[in-house]
Amino acid sequence: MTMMKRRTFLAGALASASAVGLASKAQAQAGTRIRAYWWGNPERDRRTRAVLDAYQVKNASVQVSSESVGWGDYWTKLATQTAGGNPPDLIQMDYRYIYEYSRRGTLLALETQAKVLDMKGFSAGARDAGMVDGKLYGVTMGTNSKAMVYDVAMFEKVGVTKLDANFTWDEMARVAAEISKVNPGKYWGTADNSRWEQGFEHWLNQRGKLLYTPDGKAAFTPADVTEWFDLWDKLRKSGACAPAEVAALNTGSIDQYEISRGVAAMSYANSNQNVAFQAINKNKLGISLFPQQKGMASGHYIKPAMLMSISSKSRSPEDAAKLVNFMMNEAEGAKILGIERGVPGSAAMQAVLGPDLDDLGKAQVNFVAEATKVAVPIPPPPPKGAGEIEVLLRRVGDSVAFGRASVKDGGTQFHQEAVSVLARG
Amino acid sequence: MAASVALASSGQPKLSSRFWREDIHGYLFLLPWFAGFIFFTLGPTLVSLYLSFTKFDLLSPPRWAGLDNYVYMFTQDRRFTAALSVTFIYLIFEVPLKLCFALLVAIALDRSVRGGNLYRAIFYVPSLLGGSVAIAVLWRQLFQGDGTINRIILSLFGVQGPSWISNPDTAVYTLVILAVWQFGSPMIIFLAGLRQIPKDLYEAAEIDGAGKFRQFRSITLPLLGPVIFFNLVLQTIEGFKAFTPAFIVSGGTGGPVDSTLFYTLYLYQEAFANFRMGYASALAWVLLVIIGVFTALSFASARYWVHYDDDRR
Repeated sequence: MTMMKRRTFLAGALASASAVGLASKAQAQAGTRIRAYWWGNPERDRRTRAVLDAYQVKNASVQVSSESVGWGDYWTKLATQTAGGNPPDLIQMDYRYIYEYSRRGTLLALETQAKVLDMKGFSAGARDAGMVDGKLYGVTMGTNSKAMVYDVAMFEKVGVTKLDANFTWDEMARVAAEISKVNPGKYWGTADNSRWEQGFEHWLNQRGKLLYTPDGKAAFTPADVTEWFDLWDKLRKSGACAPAEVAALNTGSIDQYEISRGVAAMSYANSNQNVAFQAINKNKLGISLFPQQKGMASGHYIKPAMLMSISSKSRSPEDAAKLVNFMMNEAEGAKILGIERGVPGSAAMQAVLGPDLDDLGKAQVNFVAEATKVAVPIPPPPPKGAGEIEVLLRRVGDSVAFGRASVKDGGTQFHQEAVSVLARG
Repeated sequence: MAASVALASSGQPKLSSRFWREDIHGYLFLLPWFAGFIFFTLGPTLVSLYLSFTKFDLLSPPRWAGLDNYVYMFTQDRRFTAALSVTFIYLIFEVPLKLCFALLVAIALDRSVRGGNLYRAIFYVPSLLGGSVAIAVLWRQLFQGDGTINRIILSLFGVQGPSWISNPDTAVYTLVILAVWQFGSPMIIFLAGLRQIPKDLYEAAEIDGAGKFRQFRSITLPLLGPVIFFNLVLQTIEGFKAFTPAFIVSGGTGGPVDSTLFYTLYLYQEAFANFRMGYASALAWVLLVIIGVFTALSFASARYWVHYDDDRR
């Protein structure tokens, strides 16, 4: 290459680079760009993309780009983008994180968009779930409660056709032991729920206790943990519950749950997830309340399955709010989303969806209605270290299940480590 | 290009304008790499050193914490010690096994067999695939309770094996096997080393009546010393950095019961699950020091067992 040619080459490269820059600038000015971000599963991704497309068809000036990842990576990415000053406009939020994000000023107070985002149709409970310090930072996309997912045919096989408040822990143990006899050593009655933080919380709620105090400390005692571990230890020893090796493979994504892997007839999850569970299970699944205890509270509470927030850094908050309104308050949007994210907070949209609901949808709506009747108040949002406690319970729970620690030592260990995690912040 | 530019300019204290004109292109071509190094390697490294003395949760600005992170790590953090011991157990098995295996295969391939190149390519394939997510998922399938491995054991011996991958006693060894299986790159290096050994040495030894094993011990091993050493250092560093398999196999938890909690996985959890960027940075710097110490130890020990052709001692 001679000097001349090199110069020409460089000049050409520079020119084309600046042309690209100009083109993208021109494109940006043509319309509003909105970035939407959520965690989910293939079914949710499909529905959400469809609703965003429908909105863009009606509003040609708005361009929505979307991004979806699994729950595990979601918060990492959101925190990184927020710290980098480049958060998405629409942020799917969880009850667990809304306090932290809103108090740090990263979310938009939605009262500022009241003109385009109508909250009047929402029940007080659904609306208030998105309030922090008296301001609205998230719109409840749907409500749910914890639910036991079970294999209908297996229950029928052992003569159980109806699950209601009489399905107690003792009854569960009996039914599970029966089911374990169908295909011994390969299929068990119930998944091991001792290692799920939310399961433990539910059990505490039944006893009128909490997992965390309002100021973010451990609200349980070592004795509580020991009793909880003991309950599951007995179930494991009687063969009703799947053994430790089977439980340890459950890493928390829906396809790894025991019921999805075809190794147990009962798994413990959230009511809106019945859509996602059924999508990957051939057998017919049902949802019901967790096992109950006679004379105690149900332990269930109604919570926002997820919320939709708008970034305080959004350059077009009004357009973002309009889009949220389309999803939550307009029949077209609500119909596309359905109840995959839980039962809508707006009564009008519940009525819109009502006639079109399939069996799964009806089951879910009925379940939330049933749970609402017996629900306990929603506990304060979990503190900052709660995600770590979730992993901790899995670790100590496994350790007990594998026989590396006694139920008593496990109880002491979990309590002690949980206290220090929460103190560390 | 970079080297010639550096040579040319160092030899010429006064830069003539003609020279500068010639040089500038070299620097221009160097710029992308150099800018990348400053902004994406050196900069973040220095920032992480600063962050290791702070508490930083990404959402609020870092707060100076002095030596708190380091003090906590060495006095209170039980998961830090757990992660270290998992990593060392992994290394102790993985590095020697992998090197032995790679050497054996290299010796087998060194003889001229028909289609030798094809075999070499085939044996190298696991190294290309091994670090991928797909293989880690496959490993989960192979080593779980009703997985392929147990079906083979059942049909051969009539015994039902445990769920290797979800049992805290065995989980880490399935990852060792996964790593050993990726013996391709040390194997290629060994092969190159074997080709360097003069064939007349073997001939002479054979005339003197040395058997195959004696030849291996007295000729191959000593002359391969520098290559073995190179592979050892490289594989040790790789071993410390292992992450993907443990992350996928345990779903990011390092479970069951922290039995696959590699150091890097713990670091990742602290940074991106628990949002303790400051503490994670401190963990990263401690890992850097540990790797440095091990590499230094390797070099120090090399004086006693690695012999170079041009050794002047």
